[in-house]
Amino acid sequence: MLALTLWIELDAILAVVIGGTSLAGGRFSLTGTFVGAMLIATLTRTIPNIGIPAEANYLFKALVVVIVCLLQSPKARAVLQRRSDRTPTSREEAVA
Amino acid sequence: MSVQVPATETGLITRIARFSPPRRYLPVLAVGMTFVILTGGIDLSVGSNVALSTLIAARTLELGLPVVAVIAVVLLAGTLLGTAMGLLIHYFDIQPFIATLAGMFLARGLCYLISVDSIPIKDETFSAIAFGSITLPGGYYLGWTAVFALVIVAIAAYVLASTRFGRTVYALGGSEPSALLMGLPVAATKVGVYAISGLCAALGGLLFALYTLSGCSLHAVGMELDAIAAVVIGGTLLTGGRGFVVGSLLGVLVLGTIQTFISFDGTLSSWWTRMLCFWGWCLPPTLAWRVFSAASGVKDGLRPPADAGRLRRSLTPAVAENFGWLSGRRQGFGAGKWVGHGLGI
Repeated sequence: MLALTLWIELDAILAVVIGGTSLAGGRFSLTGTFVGAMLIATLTRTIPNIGIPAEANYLFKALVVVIVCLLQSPKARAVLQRRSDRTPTSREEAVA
Repeated sequence: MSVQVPATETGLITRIARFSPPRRYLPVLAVGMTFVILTGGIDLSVGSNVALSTLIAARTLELGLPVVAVIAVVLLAGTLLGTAMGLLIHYFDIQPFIATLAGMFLARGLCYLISVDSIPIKDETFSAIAFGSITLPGGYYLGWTAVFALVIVAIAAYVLASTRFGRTVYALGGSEPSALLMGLPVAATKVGVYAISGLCAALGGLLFALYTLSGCSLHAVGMELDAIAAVVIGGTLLTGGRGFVVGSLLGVLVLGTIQTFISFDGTLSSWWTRMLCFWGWCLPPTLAWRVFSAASGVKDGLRPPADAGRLRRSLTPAVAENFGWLSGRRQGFGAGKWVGHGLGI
């Protein structure tokens, strides 16, 4: 059957990425990948169980990939860092 | 499960001239892909974007929107998806491969959210456009959709060759740091090419909807690979910076011709197109590269020397960049090098 394993590559990439392996290379974790695979399996079962068409899983998996990529991206981290740095100072200023 | 395309009564040349009817949307996709590949990126989301466009068109027509509004919504959705991926790629340094792969699945998931089943398009205007054609001298005829595809190719060729934006695309592909140091608008261009690719995918999706008169989430599976193959056959470097849109159109014609021959044979599954297009794509350039290297006497050179023959310089940079690894001419492919010595080239 052609459609049985269609786009299963996303699951594989997702498991690896969620497991903490850097998409830029140079850092990996096999245990993490295992946990990632478990997480994917959970997601795959949960979506149809809460009444969303099972095929819509692609949407949620894509969103998870984007979020994980953003968390790994140094630029996105820098933005988050700046924001968390700024918040206390503005509070201090407000107090002063 | 093979899909057999029956041989029609029209002549071979007519079919090729109509660039193999089912593939009119492919030149449009290849145009968008050319922009992206010229900057050294890649867009894997175009196939899903096409499917999403057909579904949005079918759904909005079903809801009773006028055709113009439907077209506007489809184009806007495709462009937005492309722009979003461009922003991720440029501002967050996510590899184009991963970002567009995520975009591919996002679009496919959205398709299933709109409808799991296929939706037919019954609008008269759509049918009229789909079946409209102009007659050319000699009894040949071109469908409106094919004319539209050719117009898109012409516009893209003009933009790439003669506008500031087009030249910046080439500069980006040549070297992004250099483009930045020259003060070129790198961010706008890089996001722009993905937006253009999204727009072209949406246009291709409209053409696909016109062709099938339906919207379905399983349309256009793997079409991004056809588009990439067409671009590469057309001589555009996968590393960016060199190539042209008209080449991509020729690439589409090559793919279309392969498909036509397979359809005419009648005994082969249409999936043979994919296999043959790989061999038509990889093997001849590799062989050509070997022959040309042998002719110019390159022994251990990883790249051809700058003063090599003019013919080879004009023909093989794409081959060298894209297929050098196949001929074992790069460092790290020691065995290939030894084979090369053994063959005396």
